[in-house]
Amino acid sequence: MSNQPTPSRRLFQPWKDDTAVPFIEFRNVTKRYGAVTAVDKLSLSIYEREFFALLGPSGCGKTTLMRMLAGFETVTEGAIFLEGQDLANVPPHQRPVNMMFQSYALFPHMNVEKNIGFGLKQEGMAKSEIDDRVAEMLSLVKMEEFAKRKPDQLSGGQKQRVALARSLAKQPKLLLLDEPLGALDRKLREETQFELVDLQERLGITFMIVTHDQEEAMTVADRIAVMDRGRIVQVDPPVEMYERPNSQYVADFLGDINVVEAKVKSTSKGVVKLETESGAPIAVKSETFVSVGQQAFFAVRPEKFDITRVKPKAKVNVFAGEVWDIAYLGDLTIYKVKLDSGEFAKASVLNRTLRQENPITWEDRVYLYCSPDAALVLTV
Amino acid sequence: MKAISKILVHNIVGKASIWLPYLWLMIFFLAPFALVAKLSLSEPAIAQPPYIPAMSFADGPAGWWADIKKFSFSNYVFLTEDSLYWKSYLSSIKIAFFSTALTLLIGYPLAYGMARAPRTLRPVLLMLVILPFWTSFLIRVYAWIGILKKEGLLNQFLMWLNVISEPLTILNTNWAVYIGIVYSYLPFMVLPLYANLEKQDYTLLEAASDLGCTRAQSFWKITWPLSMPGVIAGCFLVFIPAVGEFVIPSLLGGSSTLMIGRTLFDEFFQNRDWPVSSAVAVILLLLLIIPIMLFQRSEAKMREAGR
Repeated sequence: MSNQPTPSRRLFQPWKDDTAVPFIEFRNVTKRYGAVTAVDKLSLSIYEREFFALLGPSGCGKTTLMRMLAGFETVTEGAIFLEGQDLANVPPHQRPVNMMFQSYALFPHMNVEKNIGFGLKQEGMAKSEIDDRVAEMLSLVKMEEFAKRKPDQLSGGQKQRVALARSLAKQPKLLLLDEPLGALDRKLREETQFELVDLQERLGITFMIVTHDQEEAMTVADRIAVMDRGRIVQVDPPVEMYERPNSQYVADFLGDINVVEAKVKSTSKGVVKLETESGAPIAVKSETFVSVGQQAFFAVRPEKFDITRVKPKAKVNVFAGEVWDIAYLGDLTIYKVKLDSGEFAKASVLNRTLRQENPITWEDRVYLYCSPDAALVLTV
Repeated sequence: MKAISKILVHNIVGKASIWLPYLWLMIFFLAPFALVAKLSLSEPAIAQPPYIPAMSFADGPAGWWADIKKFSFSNYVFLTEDSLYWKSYLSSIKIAFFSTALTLLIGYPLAYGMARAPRTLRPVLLMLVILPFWTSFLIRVYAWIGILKKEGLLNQFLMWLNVISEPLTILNTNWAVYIGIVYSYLPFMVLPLYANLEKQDYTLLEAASDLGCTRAQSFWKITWPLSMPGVIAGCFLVFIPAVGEFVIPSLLGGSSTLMIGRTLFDEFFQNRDWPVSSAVAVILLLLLIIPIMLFQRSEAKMREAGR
């Protein structure tokens, strides 16, 4: 087990392979609670060994989707397939799926060892085998010293590890993680995210994580599905999701974005030219399908803007304004600029040196510029 | 100055809140017990009251020692000589034990159902459990006579159903006592169980089923062990008062129903042997202190584990 990233991970893109058979398949899945539709005609394929993240605000249906996979919720319409088998009539205790609960759900009357071995004992595994597997799991999550502790004698991070070990002990084909790191503090969370990725790679189990934390999803996942009101808005790897969001909703959910409404003037050779209401010319290298005269959204991430006091030479994508607010975050400085059009835009600058000569400050007259290949045209 | 007086008042209130329960216990439990204990060491006599005091305040400190030396344990010795007493104790414990088991058997599903009922329905169900307390205990037990007697409601109903052709004799047997105790003490079993089951985390059951448990297995491996504090509390709350129960055996039980509460009553009012009946009471208390102490120990253990 080396710490080097395996080459298989670099080339791991089964979703691009037409011959790849999905490991999990949601087919037109709908879940209704009375009049409320939690999941709406959703279709989705997840592949073996994939680390898949469901991302969305609370109430978007991501947890319901996961609970249907675990068998805690029934499917109102449609079907879920695991390795080609319809899961409809498989009760939760017979699914080759294990779940790590948000609250960890450790059994308070059993010690760490018993908790981890619970599923194995239930399976009817021999005592000596259980002991071996539990020891293996304990070392996997580095909790050997705590084998005899009861859950209430553990810290949040330790409980999280035990819960993870317990859900992995049965070597499921699919591990579901419901906001697994939500209760941990920031530092520990970041550390654990990387550990989760390593673990998933080593074990070769398909992981599906539900989270509302975009950084977490981007850190751990091969692909992310962003959900909104029971529907999937976009499914893509983190890079594509961030750089090529298909809507303002996704763009805004993953990171920060400046959006200006504009009218399409011309489209040619992959370059879309637009004009804002105040008449500023815009050019974007984009494959988004738009037609001349259409209303569209010009979208730029704050870090894609250059902020200068000198007017840039470029003829397009230049916005003049006044520094309204500055947030110094250490690694970044975020400038909130009041544009001459009256709108606000955010630009962020990486602080690469210890000290800046004559830094941009409040009420400075500044220009924001963004190159045509760093901006986006969104239609919705 | 104001601060000091505030601290002083705070201190006094704080101390009082600790000592008040002890004071309560001294006045309403220890003092009567001491009187009964003293009485159990006296000689019976044909007098008013019917005994020769074993000790008198009038004797003064010097006399007290003489009184103590004269203490007679003959009443306790007498309890071992007549089989009636130990048989009563034994029978009381037996009846209390089986009624507790029956109460648990009926109370657990009841509490479980309540805890799993829709959240809005739970207060209503809880109310229904507590409702019988609004009527006098004595009247409720008395009502059972009307139900259980030969021409009572139960027999009429069973005959109407053609389940039986001859009325059953239930009243004035041990069966009636069991029914009476189970009925009367059911809320004491249901309430602690409900309190426990209601706050159990439902995701634990999901986790168990996720790890391969059927619903029944989840119950026995998760719900049942976690409900132990409730089971223990409920059992003690039923067992302890049931051992000393007097009203139920004397109203519903037969002449052969031996229970220590009844023996004690007869000794006191029929035989007018106050010293012997006091001895009976003292032994009963000592018998009950054992389960009470066990109860307290398990409570303390639970608290420690739950920390």
